[in-house]
Amino acid sequence: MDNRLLSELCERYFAGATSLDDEQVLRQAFQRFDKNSLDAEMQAVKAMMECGESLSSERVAVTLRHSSGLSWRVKLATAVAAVAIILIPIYKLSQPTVYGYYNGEPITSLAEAEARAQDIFNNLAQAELPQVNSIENLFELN
Amino acid sequence: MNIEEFNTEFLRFKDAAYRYAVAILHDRSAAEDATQDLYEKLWRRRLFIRHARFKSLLLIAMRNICLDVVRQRSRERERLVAESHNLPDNEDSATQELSANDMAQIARRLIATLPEREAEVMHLRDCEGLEFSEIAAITHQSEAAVRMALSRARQRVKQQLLKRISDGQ
Repeated sequence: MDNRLLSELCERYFAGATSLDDEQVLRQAFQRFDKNSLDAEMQAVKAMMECGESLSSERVAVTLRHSSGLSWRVKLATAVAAVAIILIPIYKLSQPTVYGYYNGEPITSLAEAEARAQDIFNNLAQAELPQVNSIENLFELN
Repeated sequence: MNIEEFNTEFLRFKDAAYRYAVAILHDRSAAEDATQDLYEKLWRRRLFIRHARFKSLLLIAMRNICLDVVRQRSRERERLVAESHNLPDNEDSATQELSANDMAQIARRLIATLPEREAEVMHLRDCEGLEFSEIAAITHQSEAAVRMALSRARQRVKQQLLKRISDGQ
């Protein structure tokens, strides 16, 4: 590459009109040219490019750690919900089964519930019903 | 994106994000914190992140984090910029010819003194080698605005460098 072409590329570089390929061509040219053969503008371009290259070699160490991303309120609500999900079925299972109520009191024994039910049916069967022997009796009843 | 994929992609591009943070914040320690912060923020959203354009997404997210930091620390940043303005002037006293390495160092300090928008465009182009369309997407500008900002930035640095070259010779 001759100096004229290099100079033109430098002008375009300062105008922000060079492509990435053009800039690569400039870098390669600067590696071949002796510093003394570069004019001030070319030296400026070279310095800016070297600056970019040195900056692009910087590295950083990052620990790949992260928080759960949940706030303490969400964590608390989650914990309360989990405890409730576990304890509510346990509480329900620990309570005796109520088969019915007698005089307002719960009947928790299956045998007692069956006995009470049998009593009710017996009472219904023995209840005194009106005896209807004839049509006349029926009218008398009314 | 699952955890393994996310970690792999993040490790691949974290250095670019870190350098971008340094370019915006002018502070390596803050840039390291911002990079860690970036990991945590993106990790929470990893399920919604796709492989395509991961680097752009990373740089956009880093830019947002850095702009928050800049807003919080605007006064401190002004002081840092003022300090970096002073650094090249101290070297004006050197009468010996500047070496190429010195020139690159001076260019680095000059870039740190550029207006924020110009500095980040110049960083994304010259350090990360991104296309104008990518820079435009990251910085929320048009490609024409990116080219203009890059041109202004390079012209500013060029003028200062030429001044130092003429002073040094």
